[in-house]
Amino acid sequence: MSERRASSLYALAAEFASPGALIEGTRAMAGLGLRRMEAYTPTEIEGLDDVLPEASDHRVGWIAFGGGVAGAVIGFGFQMWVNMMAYPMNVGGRPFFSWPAFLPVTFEMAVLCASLSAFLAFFVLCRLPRLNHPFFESALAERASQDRYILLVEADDPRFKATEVGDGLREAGALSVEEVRV
Amino acid sequence: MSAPLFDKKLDDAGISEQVAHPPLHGGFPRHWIIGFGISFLLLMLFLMAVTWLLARGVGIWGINIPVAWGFAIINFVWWIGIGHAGTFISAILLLCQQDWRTSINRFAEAMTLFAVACAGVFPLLHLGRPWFFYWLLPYPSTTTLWPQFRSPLVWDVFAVSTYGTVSLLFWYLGLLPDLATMRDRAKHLWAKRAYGLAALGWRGASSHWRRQKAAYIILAGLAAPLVISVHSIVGLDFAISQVPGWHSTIFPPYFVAGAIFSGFAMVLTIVIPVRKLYRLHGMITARHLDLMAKVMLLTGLIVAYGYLIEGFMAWYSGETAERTMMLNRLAGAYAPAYWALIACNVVAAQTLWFKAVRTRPVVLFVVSLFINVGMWLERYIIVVTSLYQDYLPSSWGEYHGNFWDWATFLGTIGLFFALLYLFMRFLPMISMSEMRELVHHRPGGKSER
Repeated sequence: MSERRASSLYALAAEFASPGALIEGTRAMAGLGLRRMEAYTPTEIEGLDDVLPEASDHRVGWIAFGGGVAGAVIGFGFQMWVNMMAYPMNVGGRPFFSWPAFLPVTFEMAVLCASLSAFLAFFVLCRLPRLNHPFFESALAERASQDRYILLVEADDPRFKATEVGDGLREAGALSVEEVRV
Repeated sequence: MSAPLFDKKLDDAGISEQVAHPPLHGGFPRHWIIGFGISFLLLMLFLMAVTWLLARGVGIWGINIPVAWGFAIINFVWWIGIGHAGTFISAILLLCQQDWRTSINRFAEAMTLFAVACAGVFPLLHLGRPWFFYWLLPYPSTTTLWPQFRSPLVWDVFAVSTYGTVSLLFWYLGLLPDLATMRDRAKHLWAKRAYGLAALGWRGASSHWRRQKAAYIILAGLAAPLVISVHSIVGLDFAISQVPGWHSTIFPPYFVAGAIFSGFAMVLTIVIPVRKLYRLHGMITARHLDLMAKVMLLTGLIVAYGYLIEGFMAWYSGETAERTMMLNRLAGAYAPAYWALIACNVVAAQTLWFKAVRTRPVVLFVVSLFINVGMWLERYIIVVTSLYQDYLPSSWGEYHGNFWDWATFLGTIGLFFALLYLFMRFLPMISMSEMRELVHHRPGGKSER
């Protein structure tokens, strides 16, 4: 992206050929005390979260659980309300509160709400959909979804020094290192 | 050591190239045009049948008293059963960490979605006045009346709509990284824009993967019991009534096994030709076919056991109506359909004991066709032979599908395959991101350097 006015350095992007090399590179950067980095990979990398700083998030599970509980309560409560208060109807002498018959709908409501919560939680927590992002300015972005493993070290990290980081990444086995400007 | 799950030479670039090629640069090959063309014609037949139905009502079908359920319910159960194998492959096998699901799960999930779409139209069309379909849902109406929550038919509404929704979410969440790959590989501006919009800005960041994986596993965990519940509820639609041959506790589990049986047959029916036409032998190997055939064999045996128990319970119950129904099945007006069903589902399925059958695609393809037909006949037998001669001899009568019944049924086959052809043409039919993971992390693949 040339001739942009007042473009500033957003990050340094390093390209690795394999998941193993990426993990090594990440470990090297973490060793420099850098914390603001993000890996961009074509698939999930086992063990990467162990070396990336601040890489833990269990919220999706809890949100889904909350959604499921809410769905079950709403589903069961609604059927109770319909059958006991809104329109009690005597069908063959069965009790108004015939709870075993309410369980299938309760279960379906729980599953539906838990699934929607998990799905939406993923999008909200990842701040998606978002069609523009500084990472897309990088020439390496296109291969990050195919066959390259990219590490982005962000320039606003307090310990960021462009030359030191660049050398460190190359030393760790990066195929190439490039500046990402926005 | 068993046969490999993928070609050893496969790497990241190779996967992207092989899978992304047909949608991006494959054009419209002749087999696609012919296949889509036939499907599209059948789809037009479907639209014609539905239009005529809306104009004239369900009287255009062969249904009447006593057989009021006819093709609509048979086809509904058949289609939804086919859908279940997709969820079984994508969710249950994921939770069981069965690696062999990886190259077929996208396909199977797409098949689920399209099969549920085909299934869903039948109960709606069968309503008589389909434009009042929303009466099925609990909404505050001027009559202050609510759906009868003690009825399995209402459970069905919730089960099928939940199933359709969850299948869609699951499929899309898994598709997201691949849509990003398509976006990045697309050369044409509009293709790039279309895939880019659909990918919703997926960047493959580790923070994305972490949450995508979490949500994906949760959806799988939710979809797994959903499969069981949906088809159990479909089974209960029958079992809770007192019609002879339906009023049976074996129905829910036997329906679930039948669903997976028929679904795997449909997966094989589709995957065997596709693998040949798109040269996907490196990712969908002989081992996949072998394993799918084994699942079919197992579920087929459960289904055969179901047939046996149905007969035994009819005799053991001592009920005249039950016994009459069973004798009618074996030797009555519909006996040829019953024995054809046994030939397809029980006899033909036994060939799967032989490895020679399981590993020969052409033979396996033929067996899978037999099972598809057999599972349709099973629902035909369950619906029709139970209804046509029940407790009241004065209201006995026969039912046979007429032109419009068949037109609607064949029409949904057209709908299903038309959607499938569009899917194969425009979306990656194998999960690239999961294939990459498989290739990197499993023995036999390129190990981490």
